[in-house]
Amino acid sequence: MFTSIFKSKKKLENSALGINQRNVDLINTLNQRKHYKYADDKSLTKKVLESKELACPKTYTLISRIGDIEEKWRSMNEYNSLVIKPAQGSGGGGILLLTQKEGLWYKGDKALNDNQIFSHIANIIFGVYSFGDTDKAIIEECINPHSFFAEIYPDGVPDVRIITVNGTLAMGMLRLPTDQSDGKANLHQGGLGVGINLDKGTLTQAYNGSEFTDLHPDSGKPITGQKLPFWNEIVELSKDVSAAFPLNYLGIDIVLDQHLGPMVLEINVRPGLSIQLANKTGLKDAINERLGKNSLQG
Amino acid sequence: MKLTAYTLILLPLLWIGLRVVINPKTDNGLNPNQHFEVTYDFSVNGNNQSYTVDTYLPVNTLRQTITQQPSSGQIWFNDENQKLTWKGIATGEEELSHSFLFDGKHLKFTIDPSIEYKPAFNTPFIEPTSLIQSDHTSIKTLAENLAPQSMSSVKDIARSFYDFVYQMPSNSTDELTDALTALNRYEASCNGKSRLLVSLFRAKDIPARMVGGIILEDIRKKTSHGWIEVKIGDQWVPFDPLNGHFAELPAHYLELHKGDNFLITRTKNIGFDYFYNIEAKRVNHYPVLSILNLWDVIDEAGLPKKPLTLLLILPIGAFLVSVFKNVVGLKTFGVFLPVLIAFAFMEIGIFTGLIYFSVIIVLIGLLNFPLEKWGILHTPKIGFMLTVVAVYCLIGMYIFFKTGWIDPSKALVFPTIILTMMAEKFARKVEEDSLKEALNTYTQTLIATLICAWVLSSELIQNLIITFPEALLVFAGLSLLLGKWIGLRFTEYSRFNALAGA
Repeated sequence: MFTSIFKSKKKLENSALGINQRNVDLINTLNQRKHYKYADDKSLTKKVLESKELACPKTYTLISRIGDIEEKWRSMNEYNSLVIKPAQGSGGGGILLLTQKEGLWYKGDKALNDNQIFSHIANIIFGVYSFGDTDKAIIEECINPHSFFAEIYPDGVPDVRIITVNGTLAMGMLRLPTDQSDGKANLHQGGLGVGINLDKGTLTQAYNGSEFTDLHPDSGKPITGQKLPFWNEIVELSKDVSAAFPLNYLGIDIVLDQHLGPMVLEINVRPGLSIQLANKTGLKDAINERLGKNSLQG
Repeated sequence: MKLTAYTLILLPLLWIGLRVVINPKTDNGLNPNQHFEVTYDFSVNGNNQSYTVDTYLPVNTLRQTITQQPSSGQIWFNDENQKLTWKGIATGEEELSHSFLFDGKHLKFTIDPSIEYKPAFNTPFIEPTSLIQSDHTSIKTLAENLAPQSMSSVKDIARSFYDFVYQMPSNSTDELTDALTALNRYEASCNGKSRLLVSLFRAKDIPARMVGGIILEDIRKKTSHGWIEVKIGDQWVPFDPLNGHFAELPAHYLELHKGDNFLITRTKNIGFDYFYNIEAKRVNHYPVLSILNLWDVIDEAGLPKKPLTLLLILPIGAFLVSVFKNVVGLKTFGVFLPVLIAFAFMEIGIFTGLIYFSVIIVLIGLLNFPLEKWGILHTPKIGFMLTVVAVYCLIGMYIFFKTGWIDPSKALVFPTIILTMMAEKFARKVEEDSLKEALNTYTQTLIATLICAWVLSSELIQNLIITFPEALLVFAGLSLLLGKWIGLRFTEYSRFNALAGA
């Protein structure tokens, strides 16, 4: 019994990537601090993506001065739907999704007047969502999640997280919202992490933070074995994004639009480690397998 | 990098080893605080009058080691006590002085609860005296009430007597109080309390005696102290019913004589004054090869020891916290914060500190809800919260001031600053994640804090680092190694447990 505990401990140490090794061998070695800004400021991320013609939601406008809000907002009337978000926000805070019907803007079913929208934009600029640092508000195109997802679970915006190391895909995970996660897809907010077979683009199993499942816990629809739409495009986009930034260890968040296909939502220089659980695979194993043996010390 | 780290670790260790080997050994090397030089600083003043001044000199016991200096008086023995007498004719003012070195250790007895009560006979230590009226009805009745026939264990009897006298209110009178007066007033100083406690034991025919001495601290003073000893089995066991030491004595108690005696007796009608000059001596600096002898800086340049100690143990605390974070995997608010809170706990007491801090955290946590709802911007929000914390601390100080629970000045500056920093981090965590997450991190911060407080308040560690400040480099080296350590954190074993079976 003790030898089996010892063996599984050894196995865990040889395959799982912990925070210490992630920080030492990946973040500190592959990403230079002076380049973090490309990930931490989403307006800068988008600027790079746009210059390389890589797909991301179209930026309608950027607002960085209070005095510009009213004028810039007036030009937004031509769009039927849009997203307002802070350039340096984290954890989904401060994101406002608006749709226009008969000249009025709605957040869900609730109509918002101009003052309410202005004050939200002003709050973003004041740094309410970026902890005191003044920020920029990004107003961008609203994406329509692919119908593939609606069949599994109808609400929220799922996204695909791809980890790249030196331009090679190391691991992928689909994040699905649940009743509990309130439209958000983050694992620690109650979302579901689903492992992806990188070679085939098929979903392996879902992890809810404590156990594995093959079905969506709320809708009961099957997840395991489904093939993600646009998978080849997702792989190509991830490689291109990785090449576009001077960051060699990246978490790339990709959304799938019904018509426009995969688009990059944001990139992350410190991607979390729960992706290993969703894939039932340690990142050390994955990186050594896909980048060649001994890429990471065991 | 590794070379730097190993050099930082090994070089100071070698140096320390060298200092330990080269310097002469003393018994008390790691605990230099309980080493004192005591000087009797007496003076007589007379006009061609003859005088005699009589006092006690300490002897070696299990607890204390005495090194006498040559004396101008005459040393002689009286039963178990050693006495010092000056005789002469005073013409004007004359100094009488005598010094000795004291080296003490803390001694604690464990009383076997199976030792049964057996009245003693034929010993002077159960007899009443004019000051210890153990035959008086009030004292006999009290002794019977506190230790009825059914109580057979001497330990229980001792505990019962001791608790009664210890809980009796104290005063600081220096007048002589006999046992009965102490009981009637239900208030006494050390000598009254000790006599009352001795009389209770003697009323039950348990041998007990007074002990006289001085509590040593680094000052010049006149106050002496008294405690008692009770014969349990074959042992004389000490009790101090004023300062609360049951069957133990701290290391800085200097014992001068057994019995109910005056420390100094002298010829009447002669001018007399006295002081006890007590100097903390730090014997083991390991001075040879020491690069910076901090004890000398403390003793001679008057550098305050406390801030110096804090400065030196801060890096050790930070290293401890980095071990908690990177090896154990505890989530804490910042690296310095747990160390600083540990300092605050050491200042105001761990229990008080825990309550004081937790109330703040709950307060800030609750406050965050309306502030969030009103959409208050981050920086002004922190300003508002800090105001609330300041008001809370004022209320706390008022309560401490009124109750005398702890010294209000201790509860002021240092902890308050740390509290506000902690409150900010907590509020931020509530905002970023959730109240639950924030409380979780708070709990883990407290665990790290309590262990830090426990380790860093160790006098042994504090003295070691003052004696061997080069040990700091060792921690710098260890930190470097830890900064490149890529193993799994303890908490990650359970987090990624699902991967072990895959």
